[in-house]
Formats: sequence, structure tokens, C-alpha cells
Amino acid sequence: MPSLLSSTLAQTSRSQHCLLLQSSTAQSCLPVLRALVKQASERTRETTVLFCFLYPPSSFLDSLRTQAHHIRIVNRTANVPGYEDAFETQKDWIAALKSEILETVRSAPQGPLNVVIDSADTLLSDIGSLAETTHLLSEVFGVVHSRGGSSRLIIHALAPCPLIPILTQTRFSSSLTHITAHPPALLTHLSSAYLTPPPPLSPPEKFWGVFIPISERHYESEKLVFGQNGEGSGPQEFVVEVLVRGGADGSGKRRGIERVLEGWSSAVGGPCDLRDLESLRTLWAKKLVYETQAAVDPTQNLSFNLNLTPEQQRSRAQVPLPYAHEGKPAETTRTPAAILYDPDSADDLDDDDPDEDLDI
Amino acid sequence: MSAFKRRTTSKQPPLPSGTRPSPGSPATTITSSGIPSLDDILGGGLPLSCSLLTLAPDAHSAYGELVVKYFAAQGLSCGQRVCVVDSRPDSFLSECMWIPGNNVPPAPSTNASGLSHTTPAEDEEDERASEHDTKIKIAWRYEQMKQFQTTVQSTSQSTEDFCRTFDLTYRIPDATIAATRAEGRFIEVKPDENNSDVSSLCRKVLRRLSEILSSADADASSNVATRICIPALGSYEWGDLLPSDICCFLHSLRALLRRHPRACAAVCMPPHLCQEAFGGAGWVQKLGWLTDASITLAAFTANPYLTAMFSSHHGLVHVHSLPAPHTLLPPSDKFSTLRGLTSSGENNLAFKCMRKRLIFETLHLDVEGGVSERRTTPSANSIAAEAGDEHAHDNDHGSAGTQPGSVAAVQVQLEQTQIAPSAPEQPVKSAPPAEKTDTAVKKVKIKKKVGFISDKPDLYDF
Repeated sequence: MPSLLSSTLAQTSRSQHCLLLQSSTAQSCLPVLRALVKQASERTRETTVLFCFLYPPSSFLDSLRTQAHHIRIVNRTANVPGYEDAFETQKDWIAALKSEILETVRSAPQGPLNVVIDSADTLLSDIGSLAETTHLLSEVFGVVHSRGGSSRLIIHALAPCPLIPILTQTRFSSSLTHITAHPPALLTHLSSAYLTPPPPLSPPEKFWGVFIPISERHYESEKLVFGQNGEGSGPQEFVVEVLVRGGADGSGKRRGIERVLEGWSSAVGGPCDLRDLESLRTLWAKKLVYETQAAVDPTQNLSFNLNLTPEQQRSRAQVPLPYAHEGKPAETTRTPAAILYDPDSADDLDDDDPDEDLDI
Repeated sequence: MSAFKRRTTSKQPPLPSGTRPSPGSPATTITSSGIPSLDDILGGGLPLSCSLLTLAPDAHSAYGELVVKYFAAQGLSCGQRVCVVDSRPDSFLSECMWIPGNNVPPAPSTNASGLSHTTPAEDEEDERASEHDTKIKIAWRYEQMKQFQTTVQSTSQSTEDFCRTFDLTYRIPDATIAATRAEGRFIEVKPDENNSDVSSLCRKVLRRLSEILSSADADASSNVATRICIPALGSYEWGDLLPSDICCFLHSLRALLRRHPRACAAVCMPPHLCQEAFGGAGWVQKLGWLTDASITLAAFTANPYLTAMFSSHHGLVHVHSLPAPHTLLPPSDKFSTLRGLTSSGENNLAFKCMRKRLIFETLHLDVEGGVSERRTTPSANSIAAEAGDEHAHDNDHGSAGTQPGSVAAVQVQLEQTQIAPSAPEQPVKSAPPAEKTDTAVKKVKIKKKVGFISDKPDLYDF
């Protein structure tokens, strides 16, 4: 089965235009973002616009590639609100920021366009207003969507950020790919404390029912990673949850929501299966394979015969059930319905009508 | 009792089109929300001068907006005035559903609301009364029992005016929109219109709504009700709203509706505002107190666990408050079949969005131990009349199971029953009906729907 993450990276779907990467304090999703930018930069026929708010451009692309003509980099890591003398008021600074972003996006040459925003929460704190940031991102998305093809808006945000619930709504974009990074410690914790290992080892519904609430409580992952028994966070290997909404899969059929767990390994340098992650090797070693339990069949190994021969089955099927024809129209018998009665010795059958002489 | 007669004024003002008096309190005028099962939950319909709030906390679907679309489409179709408060009212209205007709364009296959679509074949299985009635041999007494109903059917008599049947696959034709706009029945209010200062957008919207309603009331000749539709209260076009701003807006909207009793409103909020993370503890209850009718459609689109558990529904329905403008208790308590307060305790409610319509149903859990099949047919709304076929199947099986001559074999052709001695035909007939019942068993789709009706005869009435 092709990995959903790798197909997302390779941008095979034509209908997915919004990609949201969510990191948390416990686990960062930056390696995925770097791989995305690198792959986008290798496609020379597409324009890539990279907005750097928090991470320097050198962390995404080496200096050779930054000179390429199809890549535009807007480096705003040095622009901090309140520390710029060029603008008199904060409002002017914000207006200049918004217009710079929109202009860069709109002035990109024709053709598929990839817009990468490396830190949406920094953008939000720069602008200060959630509504204005959403407005700006909607306009950028509108431009990207109008380009069509394999254009994408890639946003990276650090949870918990109030922007994330807004970006996942259908009102922002009808199709969405939401990639969340989780520490492997979370899966080992689930399998030891909740006895629910990841999907092939346990039924998917049960696993997701346990996983979704705990993954949304960020303090739990932080406690697992940075707590007493934690090993700290590191980008070497982590678990990636991919949620894909809308769009069509390879066969062209529309699907609702698809949610899978995959792995990312720096040893491989890309997406991998959960089984290949070093930190989760202990889970698979236990070999708790979930099998559908065959119900114990009590009719086997008996000392008497419970089977019917075909003739016996046929005659059994032909037995008329009692009361089964109640309420159905009565059969026409050859004899009309009649009451057959043998008179008793004490019976007095008299054909006269005793009321005959009544005269009213 | 007959000595006392209600003094009816001979001159009663005629009701606006598309409305009728509420069965629970004749002083209240109710109007349909476009969805018959939602009307039943509200107690017949949404009363005029009341507001309906739909919360949809699931980010991956847009069922709340779908309810507001139904509301707007119903208003347009029965001749009422519709006022849409949105930054893009045209695109909102063009996405509304419509009555299927000859010159109505079917919708394009992409649906921006992100609903999951079932294939047409599955939907037809849902909607058709399945031929699953294999003759019951063991509990034969239950065969004559009435079929259970899980949702209300829109009674055909006199409802065409009150509630039209909409089809989700059709969109409003542009000609209709242009015609209603020319008649003045479609009014737009854009919150972010003049890019003015953001802090008082709510007050600006309320002022504009007040102007619209006052001018509608001043126009004494026309007797048209007004519907206010707000598909996304608090989205980014409204600026940064605090919970207190939203509370203030809803409170003022309710006061506005009370001042202009020929109007009603349907409001929906974006998913991130429907949650306690935004409004604090008790937020949903607060919203229920500030509006007359408040329901939550908790869809489980992204949750595989709930989707697997309730596979025939798309989400749960929680009712927070119900309209009672002129009575102490909401009429829905007494008149709602879906909520079932008069019969056997309050039912759990769920909703399902099929390809053509959205329906609200009662939700019943499986019996522990895995018996997941109960003998019911799909909701009465969607039954294609195949009663004749059912009889055919029953009697066919009956004839197959008898010995020739002991009971007269009943030969059935569609709906006629002919009693014919068919002894020589018996051996021939026994083979095909047996096969037919086998295939009928295979086609059984698991249905888990059960409902109880209060005013129908008792369960064990034979």
C-alpha cells in the first residue's frame, strides 16, 4: 500500500490545495516541511514562494538553490514588530506586511504555484488579530486555488495555536491534508497503559477512539516526552498522523475523510512505515496479532449425528407449521363446514319454536 | 362545555404565506424550517419571532450551514422574504437546494461543504423498502405487527404549502434568484461592507436588520413573513469577536425579533466558536438561553470509532432549548414524535445526510452481544410503495412450504390473491421460491432503527 505521506509529498493529487503541518512542543514537524520545500524546489516548472518568519531560509534550502529563478524567498526573520524604525505606527507596519505578502503571491509568474508559510503562529502574533490573519490567509489561498493544477498552500503551525481550528474548517478550504507529528513515546504509552497498540495490532476503531482524545491533549505528550521517564524530543524519528479530507484518490472516486498513522525516519530520510521505526520495535516484537476469533462451534466433535440427509431436510421443510396459516383464506374443502353432533340421551331436540304463540 | 364558546373575532388577519397556527398554542404562528423532521423536533415548525441556532462543532463538515440553507430555500419557495447576512450572500444562495423540476439544473458533483457522499447504489438501498421480509417461522405472531417508524413522514395533505420537499442534488436556478431579487424578497446584508471600523460590526448589522424589518412592517399591504439567515456568525468577516460580543448580538437579535413579530431567524456559527475552548465552561448552555431554539449537530466525520459504532448515521443531535414564545412549556414536549416525551421517555436523536435529503432520526443502540438486526423497514419518508411485493413474497414462501393438497396453495400475481388448487404445479414452484428466499436473505441490509409512536395503537395490538 503506497504511503499516504509519500504521495502527499510527491503531490500526486490534483485536488488537494491546502496542506497544514502541525508541530507541537513535544514533537516538531520541521523535517517534513524541509522535505516538502526541497521537493518543491526541485520542480523547476512550478514557482515556489517561501515566506520565512521564524526559521532562516538556509535551514530549508542551501544557498545554491536559493538563487534559482523559480524560487522566491521572503525573509522576514529579522522583522520584529516594535523594532522597526521605518514605520511610525504598528498599523502601518501590519499593513505593509500584508501587502508585501499579497503582492509577492499575486505577482508570481503563471503556472502552478506553491506558497509555503513556515510559521503561521508567528504571522498571527505579528499581525495581532485572528480575523485579519484568517482574512489574509484566505486571500492567499484564493490565489493559489485559482492557479489550479498542483498548486498548494503549505502552512506550518505550532500547536496550540488558535489559527489551527480555523484552517481545518471546510469554510477555509474544502479539501485539506492535515499532517500532525506525534512523539513515538505516545504510541508506546498507549500500548502499555491502555493496551492499545497501533492499528494492525488492534482494531482501528478501538485505536482511534483511544488515540484521538489523548493526542489532542498536548500536555500529555509533553509529560511523556519531557517528564521523568521521557527521553526528550528529537527530530530523528517520529510518528506522523495524516488526515486527508476531500479530493479524489487515484481511481477518481471521492472519499470522505481518511486518517492514517505513518512514520518518519531521518535514517531513511523520508516517510516510512510504523514498523520501521526503531523506537517502536518493541511493540511489534510482542506479536500480538489481532485475529478475528472464530466462534467455538459446538456442533463439532460430537458423539451423535446432528446432520440431516437431504431427504430428511426436504421432508422437514414440507411440514406445515401449526398456526402458520392463521388469518389466511380458508381452504376449500370438499365437504362444507358442518357441525357433526350425536345427540345425547338427555338432549331434547324439539323443532317447535316456543315463542310461536307469543302475541305482542 | 358546549355553553361556553370561544368568541372568535370575525376579522382575523390572514396568516402570511407559508405559515400556519401551531397545534400546541393557536396564538403562535409557525413556519417550516425546510426539514420535516426538524420541524417535528421544534414542535411543528419554528414560531415567528423566534430564533434558531444550529451549532456544528465538527470542523470537517458543514451541516449547520446546510440547515440554514434549507431554511433559506424554504423561505424563498413559499413566498417569504429572505434576508441573508453574509459577506458573500450570492454564493450562499446559489448553493441552496431546490425542488426538483424540469428546468432546474442539477448540482455539479463537487460539493464545497465537504460532506461524504455515498454511491447512488447504496442510497437506493437505503431508500427502498428492502425485500427482506422472509417469512418468520418462529415468532409468527409478530408478523402482523405494524412496522416501526424511526422518523416522521411529512404527511402529504396540506403540507405542500407548508414544507416543500427539497432535493440536495438540485440548486436554485439563477432565474429564480433574479426574480426574487426583483420582487424585493431577497435582501443582502454584508457585515464587512464598508470596511469600516471593525469593533462595531455587530451593532451595524443589527441596525441594518432593524431598518429592514421596520420597513417591512410599515408596508401594511403585504403580508409576508421575513426570514433572517446568518450562515456564519463570527467568521473572520465579522472581526475578532469575543464571547460577550456574540452573547450581546444574540440577545439583541432576539429582542429585535420580538419587536417585529413577523420575522424569524436561523443562525449558525463556525465550528471553532461552538466549543467551550472559545467561550469557556457552559458556553453551549449560554447560547441555548440566548436563543429560542438551539440544537447541536455533532457530526462524526473524522472519528473512525464513532463512525463504526453508528454506521447508519452521520452525527448526533443534542437539543439545548426549544421555542415556547407564548406558553410555559415548549409545544414540542407534547407534539414531537421524534423526541418521544409523551411515550417512552426521551429518545436519543441523530441525523443522516443522504444524497437527496437530510433527515433527523431516533437513535437506538445495539443490543449487547451483537444482535444487530431488527426487523424494520427504512424510514417512511423514503418507502417506495412495494407492499404488494411483500405479500407476494410471503405467500410464495407459504406455498413452497406446504404439501400439495393439505392447504390450498395461494398463487399470487402482484396484488391479487387467487385461490387455485395447484397440486400439479407444486413441485415446479417449490424450487424457485426457495431460491428466491435465499437471495432475499442475502440482500438484507442491516437496519437498526426502531421507534415508538405515541398515538398509534399499542404494541401488542393484533
